[in-house]
Amino acid sequence: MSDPILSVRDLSVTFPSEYGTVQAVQDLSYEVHQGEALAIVGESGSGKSVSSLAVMGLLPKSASISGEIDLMGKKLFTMDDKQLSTLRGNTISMIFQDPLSALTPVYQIGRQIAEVVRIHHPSVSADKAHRRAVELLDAVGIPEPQRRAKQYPHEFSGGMRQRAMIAMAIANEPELIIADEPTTALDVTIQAQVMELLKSAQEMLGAATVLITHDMGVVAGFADRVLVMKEARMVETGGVDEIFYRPRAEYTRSLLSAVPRVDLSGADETDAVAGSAMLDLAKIVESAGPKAPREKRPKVLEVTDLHRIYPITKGALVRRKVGEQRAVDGISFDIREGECLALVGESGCGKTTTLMEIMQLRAPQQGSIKIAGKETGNLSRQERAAMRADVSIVFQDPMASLDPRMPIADIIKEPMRVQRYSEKRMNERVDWLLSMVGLLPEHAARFPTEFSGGQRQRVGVARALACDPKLIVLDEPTSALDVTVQAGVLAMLADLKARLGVSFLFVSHDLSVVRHISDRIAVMRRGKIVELGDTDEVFAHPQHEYSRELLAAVPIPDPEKARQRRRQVIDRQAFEGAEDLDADDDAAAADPPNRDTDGSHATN
Amino acid sequence: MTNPGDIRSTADASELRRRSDPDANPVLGSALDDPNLQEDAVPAQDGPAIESMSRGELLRRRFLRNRSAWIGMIIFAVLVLMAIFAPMFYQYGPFERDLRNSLTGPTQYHWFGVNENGLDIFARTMQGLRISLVIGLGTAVLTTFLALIVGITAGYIGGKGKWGAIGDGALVNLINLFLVIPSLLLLMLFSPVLQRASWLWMIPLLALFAWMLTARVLRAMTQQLVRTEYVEAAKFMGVNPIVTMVRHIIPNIASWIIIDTTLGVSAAILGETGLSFIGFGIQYPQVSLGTVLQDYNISAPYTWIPPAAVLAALVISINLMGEALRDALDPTSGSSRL
Amino acid sequence: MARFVAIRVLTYVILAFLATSFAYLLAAALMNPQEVLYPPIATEPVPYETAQHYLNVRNVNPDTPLMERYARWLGGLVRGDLGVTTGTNKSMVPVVDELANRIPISLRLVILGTIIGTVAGVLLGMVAAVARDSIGDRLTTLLAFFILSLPTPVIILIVQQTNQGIMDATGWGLPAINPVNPLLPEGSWASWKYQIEALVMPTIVLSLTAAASYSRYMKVTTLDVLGSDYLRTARAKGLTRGQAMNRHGLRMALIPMGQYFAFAVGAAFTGSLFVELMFNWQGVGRFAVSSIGMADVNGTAGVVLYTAILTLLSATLADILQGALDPRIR
Repeated sequence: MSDPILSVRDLSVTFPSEYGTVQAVQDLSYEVHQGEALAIVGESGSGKSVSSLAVMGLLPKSASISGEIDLMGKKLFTMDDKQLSTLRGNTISMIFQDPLSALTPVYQIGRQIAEVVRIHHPSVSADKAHRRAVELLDAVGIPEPQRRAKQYPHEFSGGMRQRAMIAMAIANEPELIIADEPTTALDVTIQAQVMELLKSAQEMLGAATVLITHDMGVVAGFADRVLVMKEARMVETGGVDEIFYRPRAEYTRSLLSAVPRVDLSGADETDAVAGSAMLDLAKIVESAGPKAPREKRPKVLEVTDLHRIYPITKGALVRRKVGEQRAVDGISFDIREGECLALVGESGCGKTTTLMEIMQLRAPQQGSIKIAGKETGNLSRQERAAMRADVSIVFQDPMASLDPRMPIADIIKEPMRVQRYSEKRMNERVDWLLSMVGLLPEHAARFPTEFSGGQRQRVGVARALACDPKLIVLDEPTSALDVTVQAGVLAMLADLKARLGVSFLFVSHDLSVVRHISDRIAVMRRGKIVELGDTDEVFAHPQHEYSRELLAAVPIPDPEKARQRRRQVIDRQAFEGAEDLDADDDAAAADPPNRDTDGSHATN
Repeated sequence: MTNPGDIRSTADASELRRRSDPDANPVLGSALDDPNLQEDAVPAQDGPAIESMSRGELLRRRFLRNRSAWIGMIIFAVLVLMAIFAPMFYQYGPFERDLRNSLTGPTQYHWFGVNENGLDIFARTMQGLRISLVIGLGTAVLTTFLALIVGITAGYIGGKGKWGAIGDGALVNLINLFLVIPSLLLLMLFSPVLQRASWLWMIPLLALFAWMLTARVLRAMTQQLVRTEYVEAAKFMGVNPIVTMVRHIIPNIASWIIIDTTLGVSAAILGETGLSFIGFGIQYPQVSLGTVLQDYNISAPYTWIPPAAVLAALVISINLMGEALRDALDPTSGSSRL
Repeated sequence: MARFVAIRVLTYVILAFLATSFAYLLAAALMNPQEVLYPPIATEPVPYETAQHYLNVRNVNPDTPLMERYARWLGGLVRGDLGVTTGTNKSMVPVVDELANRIPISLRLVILGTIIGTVAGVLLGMVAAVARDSIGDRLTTLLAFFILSLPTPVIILIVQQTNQGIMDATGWGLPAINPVNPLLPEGSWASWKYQIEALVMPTIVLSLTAAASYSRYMKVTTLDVLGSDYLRTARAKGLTRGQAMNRHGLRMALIPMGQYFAFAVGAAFTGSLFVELMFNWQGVGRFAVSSIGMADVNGTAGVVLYTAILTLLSATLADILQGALDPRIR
């Protein structure tokens, strides 16, 4: 093999902080060769981003760095900012996580791309650089590149911004591309397109690539080699197949086993370790024993023809309606006792609005919501207050959903206090609830900041359980958590459902997460439910085009399968023509109506 | 009066929140994400590693670690003691005339000297310090109170349906109106009329024209808090809105309110002395530091340097404490580093 | 953009109108310019007819209902007539003329002070943020802290005393009173020289206070920008730290400054009031003090109108600046 493009030896990075020095990266060594894709995988705080910023020389001044970084024979640490700047954007380029904040909001996209060209080739005229920018935008699959080049970042959708970032990164045909969580902020279908684009770009340029990610699924389809990091140190490195099929380190194994898989039902066999813990989760769900058939159980929640329309107004002084946004556009579903319905869709599809409409316990704009048989629109004040005990919610972000100034016990008591429980009963219940969600009763006196994300989410669940609700609404309860933590929380939820017989409305953007926990799935798009059916049925035989697309886009943490799938995808569409899903708004009109389906697929 | 040079307004609510949030700075954020906070697969074991330290305790420790906080506290304490006790034993009163010694420098009898009118500058300065202190403290508390009512109400009702939005809009326009009004001129208009009743009217008067910026920040902070998931959660549990406000919203902005009130004291003192200086503030038979400065004489620096120095020491000591508090709340903010 | 500015200007005009009306009503209700007709000011009794005529001409007759007086004043406002000066001094000069004489004197101070102060503050704040913890940063921050802790009169006194000290020591100093020297022939070189020299100290005072607060704001916004993702992207593209700051950071840091600028002119007016008093300038600020002091209802309302228009203009300018800098709000 040729000389490495990049070699990192014994890299250590520390930051000063109030609690003493923080070791962000410790003794990290790796090499990347030409045309090779290395994935650095780790959970949050593992030091993976810091290590790549060190390569770029973009760490804040307060960081102290030791070790050696060698880029095509140049020792990076001996160079000053000026010398490094001749390499950045030319020899190495970087793609950042959040494309909204990573582009300067006040300059046109075309100008920002042209800038990269002109920085390193000052002789190129402004005109020529602009033409090159348009070319690049075209190459990364942005429709109407001429017009788009004159637009500002806020006029681009998330996926398109990331495409523009990639255009910027490949403008000078760099030898090394570093992509730092390039798709974390994107929807899954967009993620698939962007990863595809990145892979094609890399193959076209023959550049070495370092992909930094927490998502094993993305790694499997992209990387040639994998480096696993944990708590600032490297855990293991090896070829992608080796890591996925024969991991040596315990941590890699647990990381892989915790990854939810969209492609595996209980019976499937695979070489990959990935997803094995999630299969255990499926066993918990199944072990719950036989339940009465669905039709016999009472309806906990019934939503009929729910609408929520926001007017779009213009004008500051005289407001006039210029249009309307149909956030929720006539959806119907029901949840029976002890059942988990997953509401799945991408950002902006109206799933959160649906959820808020239910939680309000008020008459919706149109349609009806019945909880335990009672119409929410007709409740008296007392009835509504009492019903608050029957429906509770767990939020997405465990950092934001608990008041940082209250001890855990008070947080859990809050709903009980509203329902006027006695002090003694509340104390008993707090202990019981804490043990129910896998925490210790001693934790009751502590503050939320003393807990980790997963533990806080458990507290959130305990609060939701406090008044013995009939229905718990879970709003992306695991999307803010690391994957190993997510597996634990999901297992706990499945366990609670089996033991307490409570019903869940589980809202998620990620099909693989709800694979094992949900009984039924509703796929939502642009305010409508496009498909509703039993989980296994939807996964095995998705009826709607969009469900199929969504399923196909979920990355599979199995290199062999990912490669197979990629071959199929490439056959189907050349990436240049790839349509940006979130860019075309008129596609909504072309949405096929719900198809007639067989018995297990309810028709709305 | 609105002094846009007011040190307080540097801190915008969002900025404050954003900076104290490690997520805002992704590089440091990811690095500083305490590795101990990593969830382990079995959370039942006694995991959490950060030792139990409440926010208040942390704030106090950071504050007491700050050198400028100590300097500020000591100067302020000395000045307060002087304001209380000096007029009790000093032999001259603020209006006793010693015309024979008029325009003489500091002596052992007249510690700061005597002005053109034969009035003892030390006696007047101490008396003025008293009044300025009372007005500063009173105005700051009242200002915060006004701002709290308007700001929290506007922030809270803003998200509550059509009528809430209208009410919020009305309050915002009220804030804007008060910001556009030339407050100094109106103060000049009101002050002499009200002073006839009592010099204490100065407090509500100054507060009336000083609450707007604080209210604006409080509104923004409340809006942010109302959108947080724990307030949302309280709503979905059926918690009474007023209980929510007292239990969830006010405690979370309390530290900011304390800081703002502290810096508000110095802003009020500056406003009052300015107004008194041009003759529209504290009137005879009371003296404020502004009135003392009024009798300046460029050819005799001792007529204005001592009261100016006392005034500066007072404002600086308060600002030092306020900024140290802010640093304690938000250690990454650079705006106030000395 | 034009639409955005038009709506904002309309809002400001309404606010300015409300503020002025409010001030007029307050002044008319609180002030007693009729006192001039009674003892102790008037030495002999004024006949009723004469008194009524005197009050009516000035539109300050307490027997006329307040709203009627306000309506008359508004009618005048529409025609560009702000009434005549009233109050305890009997002279009767149209307020418009009085303002027309004084505005040029005040405005040169306000404009110069604001511009120098803003530019210096922005530059210093940016340098302090970029070179954080350097000696320059510490010095700027410390100086700004002290200036903001002093009331304007004290700053003026310090500047004047320094000038006096220099004058005592070297025999040469800047003029400390009057913006123009009435003894010098108008338009002559000496007169211009005097005017410029007289402007130096007041401008220093106003610029110092403006620069102190601006440098603080600018430091905060610049520190925000320094930690931003887009600046990191700009550097990842191959710009050095300084280039990235100049090409991408500066413009972003200036956007929030626009909002502060809206208040800057109001602050400069307050500052100029002290300056005019202490340097003996016959400007609008001094007129404000004397109008209020002698219960001149029309004069007070005129000054309030002037400051409201000043604020309106600066807020509009701030909006235009912000619109030009930031495509997102266009």
